[in-house]
Amino acid sequence: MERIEKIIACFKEIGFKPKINEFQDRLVIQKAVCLLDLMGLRPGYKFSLYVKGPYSPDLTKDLYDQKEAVQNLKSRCVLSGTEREKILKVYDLSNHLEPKLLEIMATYSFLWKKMNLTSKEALINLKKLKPYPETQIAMGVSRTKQLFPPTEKEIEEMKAEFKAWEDASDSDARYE
Amino acid sequence: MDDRIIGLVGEAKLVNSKIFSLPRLLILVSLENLGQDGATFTDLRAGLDLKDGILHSNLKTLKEMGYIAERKVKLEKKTLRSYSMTEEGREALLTARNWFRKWLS
Repeated sequence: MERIEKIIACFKEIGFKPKINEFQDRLVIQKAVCLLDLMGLRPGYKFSLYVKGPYSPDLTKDLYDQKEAVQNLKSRCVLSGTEREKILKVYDLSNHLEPKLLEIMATYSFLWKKMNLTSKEALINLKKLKPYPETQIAMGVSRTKQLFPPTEKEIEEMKAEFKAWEDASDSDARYE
Repeated sequence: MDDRIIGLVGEAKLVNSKIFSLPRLLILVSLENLGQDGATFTDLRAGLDLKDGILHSNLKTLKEMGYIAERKVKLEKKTLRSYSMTEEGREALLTARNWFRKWLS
């Protein structure tokens, strides 16, 4: 009950009242909770990669078991300031929980952050699993990157990449 | 014939041989842990890398066998077909899996 209460508190924060019998609402919950988990909220649900992207059978079970509490946003859990910031960030960047955008964001994040693929490998796999139009994919990937600030390692990799460009540019300038 | 083979032949009668096609096994395994949420046609096509025709005909066969159920769902105002595994399908997969284990050992 404790873990679902945290999720309910998150929905309460953004005013999302899900209908558990609706396929779309269950999909939105799965993808939003997966993102929150990867952002460090740790609600306690185990996600694995299935044909439909990241998914937690335990979460679905809890949604049905606690249907009444979920639909009426009944929760005793109080979110911390950081937790509130995280759910608001997911809400804003997913255009207020747009299902397909959430699917792209959660699948890309899972491949990148959980399965530790490089961003390039994650993108290749994302396109296989979610063959959506390029513009939707690009938006989802860009929004995902806004969810996760770059790590030290990623900053170093970017610096190395830019240095190669700068060096090439300096060498061109010498011949002008 | 040794005892093991006699046992395998006897238990083979419990297994529905129509389950043994690669697309069918892949479909069943991928739906196994998705409960009543199941997966849409698009999810299965992309995730299993199957052509429309192959996926469609195998889903039809599995439906006729009573191993999967089809229903219509709404996503972003579009109607999609979603598939989930039935209790019969779960039992058939378990029987086939157990038989395969014995066959391999």
